[in-house]
Amino acid sequence: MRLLKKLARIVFRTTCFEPNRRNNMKPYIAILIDSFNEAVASRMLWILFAAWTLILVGIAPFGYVEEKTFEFRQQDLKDVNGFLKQLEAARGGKGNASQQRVASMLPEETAEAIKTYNSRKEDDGNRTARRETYRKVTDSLNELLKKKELYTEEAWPTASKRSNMKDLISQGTETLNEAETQELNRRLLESSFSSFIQPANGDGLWLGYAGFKLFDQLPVTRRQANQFVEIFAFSVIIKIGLGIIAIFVAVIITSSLIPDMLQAGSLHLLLSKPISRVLLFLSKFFGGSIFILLNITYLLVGLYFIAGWRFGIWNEGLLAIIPVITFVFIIFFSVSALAGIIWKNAIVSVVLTIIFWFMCLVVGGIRGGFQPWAEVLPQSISVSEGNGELFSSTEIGQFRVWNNETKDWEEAVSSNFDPGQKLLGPIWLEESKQLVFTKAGRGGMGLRGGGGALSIIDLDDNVDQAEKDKAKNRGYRWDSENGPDVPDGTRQVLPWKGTMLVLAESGIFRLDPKKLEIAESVPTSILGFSIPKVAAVSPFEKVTPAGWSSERPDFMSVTPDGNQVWLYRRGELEQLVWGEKSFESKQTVKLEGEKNAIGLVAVSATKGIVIRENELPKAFDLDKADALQEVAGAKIEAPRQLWYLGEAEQFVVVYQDGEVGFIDAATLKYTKPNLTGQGNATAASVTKDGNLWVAHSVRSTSKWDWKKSTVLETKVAPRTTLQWFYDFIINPIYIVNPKPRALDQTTAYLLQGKNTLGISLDTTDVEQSRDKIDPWTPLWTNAIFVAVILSISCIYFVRQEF
Amino acid sequence: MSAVPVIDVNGLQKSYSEGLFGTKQFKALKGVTLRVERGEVFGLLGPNGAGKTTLIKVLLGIIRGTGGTAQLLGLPAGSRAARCRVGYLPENLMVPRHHTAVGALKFFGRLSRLDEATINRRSAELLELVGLKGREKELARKYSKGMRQRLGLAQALLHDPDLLILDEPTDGLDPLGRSQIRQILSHLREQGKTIFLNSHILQEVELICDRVAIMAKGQLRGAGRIQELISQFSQSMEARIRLEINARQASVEAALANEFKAVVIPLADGSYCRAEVITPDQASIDRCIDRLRSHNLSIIRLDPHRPTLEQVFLSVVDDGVNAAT
Repeated sequence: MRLLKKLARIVFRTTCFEPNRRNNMKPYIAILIDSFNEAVASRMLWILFAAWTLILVGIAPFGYVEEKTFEFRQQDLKDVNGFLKQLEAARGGKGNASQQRVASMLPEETAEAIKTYNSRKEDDGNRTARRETYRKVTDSLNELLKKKELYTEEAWPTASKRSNMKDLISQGTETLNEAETQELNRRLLESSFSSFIQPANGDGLWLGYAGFKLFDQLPVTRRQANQFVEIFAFSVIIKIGLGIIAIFVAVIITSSLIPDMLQAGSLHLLLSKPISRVLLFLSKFFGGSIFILLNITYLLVGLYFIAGWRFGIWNEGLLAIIPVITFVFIIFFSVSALAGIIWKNAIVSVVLTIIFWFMCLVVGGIRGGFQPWAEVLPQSISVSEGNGELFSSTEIGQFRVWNNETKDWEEAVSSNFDPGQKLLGPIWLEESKQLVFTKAGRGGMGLRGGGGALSIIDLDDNVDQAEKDKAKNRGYRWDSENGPDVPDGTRQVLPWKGTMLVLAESGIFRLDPKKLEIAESVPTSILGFSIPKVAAVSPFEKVTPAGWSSERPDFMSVTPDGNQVWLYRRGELEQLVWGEKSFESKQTVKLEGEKNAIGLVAVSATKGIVIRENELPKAFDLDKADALQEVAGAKIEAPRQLWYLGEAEQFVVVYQDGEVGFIDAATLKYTKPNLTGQGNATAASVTKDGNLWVAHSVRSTSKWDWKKSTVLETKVAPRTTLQWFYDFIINPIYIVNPKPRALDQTTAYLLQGKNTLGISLDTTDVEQSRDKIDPWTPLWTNAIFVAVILSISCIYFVRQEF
Repeated sequence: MSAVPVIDVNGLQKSYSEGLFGTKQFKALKGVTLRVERGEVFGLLGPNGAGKTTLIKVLLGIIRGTGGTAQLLGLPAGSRAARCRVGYLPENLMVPRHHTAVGALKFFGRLSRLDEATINRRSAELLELVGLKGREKELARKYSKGMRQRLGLAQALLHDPDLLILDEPTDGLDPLGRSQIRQILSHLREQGKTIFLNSHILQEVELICDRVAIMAKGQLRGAGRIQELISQFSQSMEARIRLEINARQASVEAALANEFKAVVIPLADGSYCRAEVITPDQASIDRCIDRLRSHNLSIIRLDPHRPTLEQVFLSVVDDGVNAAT
């Protein structure tokens, strides 16, 4: 206590101002101004300015080249398999006149390639050949776009009346220039194959340099390209250019600042002046940061204007991160200054700062290496109940079932998921006592969609106990069997009227349990993979109208009676109503805002909720879906899961940042229950008895009685060895260790303005975990570190006799 | 003249811990007592390691004394109020590389909390005084050592301090540089400034200072006006006379033999010589002259020998060393 009092007295004596004296801060402002002058007089500053100028001048000519083009890109074809079949049929004289006209004008070589492609076995695994065929077809279509003779009135009798073609046709095809011919021909092709060809708006985008096109046309929209620039290009410049190179140079340059000040001829004169030692040191310290501040400001202001001028990205976040990067430097400089004040040697300062830097990198790197395996990949991204069992699937693609005896998850089936594959299901088929599921792959742009076999677990009590035990001994609960292939591009499965609905690219399908035939494994294999026998008749029946297809991002929900499907599809909300044998589209509501935003929809019998990324949830009446009402009290964050709770127009939403909220669609109220797992939730599902399973905190799953706002039970899986090591060794070291790199989260937040960061560029998979951005914690944890180091330095400086 | 001394040091002690665990104590100041009055030019003499710079550091508050008291202008030494009234020129002044003379004065003026108008006015006056006018916009790193010291003097005088503490102001300067500094100090003395000068260049101190103090091994061995010091130390030294005699060395030595202790040195071609003879009192001086005259030796010149400040200094320092050992 005495020591503390003494310390407080020293600090007070050395920092307090004389109340009656004017210009108290004048000397310290003078030191800061002098530091600025010193930085400006530094030759190194101008060398760096020259380097930054070269970089900015080098990147300034980059930009977009936008041109009107109607050329085909591979992604313009929606259902390639169907399209190629149609083309082959048209070449054989089937289909309408326009289709036949198009098919007849394709080169022979392309027609042969289409024929070969169509005759191949489904999923023969030869992706290269498939890609080659796609390329050949798109090249041929592009050649077709140039042909003035494509249009004939016989083939397209109504084209001259269509608004998007009549002007061009009326001019006479012979008189059209190249661009007009291309546009007309594209419109003709779109009208002939409307189910297969995405309508083009003519906006072509290229990456350009000084107005010259670089590479091929970009396969993305301008918004997506801008996202790339903001997420990756900015990040590279800021993390490497500023976060490493500029800071490293600044650490070296400023390392002599404190030792120079401590030289007798300089220090004794300063100490003889009527100024406080603490403030002298702090002014000198913060004055030293002016050097990096000037560098960062120059580069980022330059970048801000270039990004705005060349790419149309006027991101104020670039300017907002100037103090953040300066703060990163201050962290390193505080270590350098402490070393300088103790050892009075610039080289020792640099070496110790680099050791500190290396230590932070190693600790952060080790934690970063372990974190996905300990925290992200094992977390549940879905949780569900069926046949009295609790299931979950993990980010890494494990399908697990809770074992009440061992109080731990166990593998439900032998693990045959590829890394990154996502489980779709499971769906419990009550009648046949079967659990069915399938999987979908994830790509750089989100969920690619499934296309493999439907896996079936037979849970009929008649199944031989010996078979069950056999599976148990092998480390998983059940043997699964390969059933028929699910439709191409399957991305969502839902229980529906005792069976399941499948949302795929080409439509919505229902599983006919009666036709569900379990294929026997063929004893032979190719490249080590067993090949399932293809079911003679697919049990998946298309239940959407002819020509109906879905586009990502999409998500469907079914009313409790199963008679309506509500679909969020690329910025639209569509209602499909069950007829006798299929759904009919009843209404489509175009939502305002970005059409590519991912979104979720859930419906009760009378109400619905739609939530899109970066927007508030919106409630609607099923009868009047165009009258959307915002749920004002909710948060704006990327949604992860959305379910109808089964009664009272209540819905539950799980956000990417782990928050679970209840939305009352009737009163438009949003509530955030304070229950176990809140803030760390990754998945939820409604149980048969109307409660809610919430998977959270990596290893836990809690059952919430949402009506009484209590937790009924929590199942906590024991830690794996890796998790134990992570929780008790790696993480505590990381917490204590300073974390300059964690400020990348702050810069990411300031640049993107989002609390979560998608792993992929433009993910269409809402359930995929995103990196939670915690922009403010790194600021205060690092600020504490800097404060501690500066306090030690100040105390040393005050106590030291020079 | 104010009754409050400008510098008032009483029994000042300063010890440093030494050794791996700081168990050994090194005493840099061993109870120094000193007073400097207003308007005095006071010289502190002492060999390297005597404790002069340590004393200055304590006076300026750069380090803290471990015993005794020290006051500047009636204020505790080292207090911010005291530092406001002191101008200091450190030994080996380092001016930041980017400063011109004007820039440096502006910076140090702001550190002394002067307003911009005062800084500008005083800078012009002082640059004139120290002879840097016309070169004030050059970078100080291009200045000669003498010019840097003069710039240092200007910054020390910028806030018109009551006391000027100069630590080895002419160290390392050529004769011309020393002369220039001396002229400035003389000018300041005429203006009535109190100057505390720390130097080991005795000639300088002798020429400028009103009073001096001699330090050795952390102790003040003596203090006072130069003449007083010399007289004081002359008494403790053996009295002697210096003679120039028109005779050869052997003749003089023969004449003085047996009765007097003398050193005889031949001069010129050896036709005459110089003798230094120890003569404790007037009677022995008379006897010495009688003896020489009785041997028919002509005395050309006779001087009673007076010790110089250097001799006093060496004598004091030797005593200090002997006392310490």
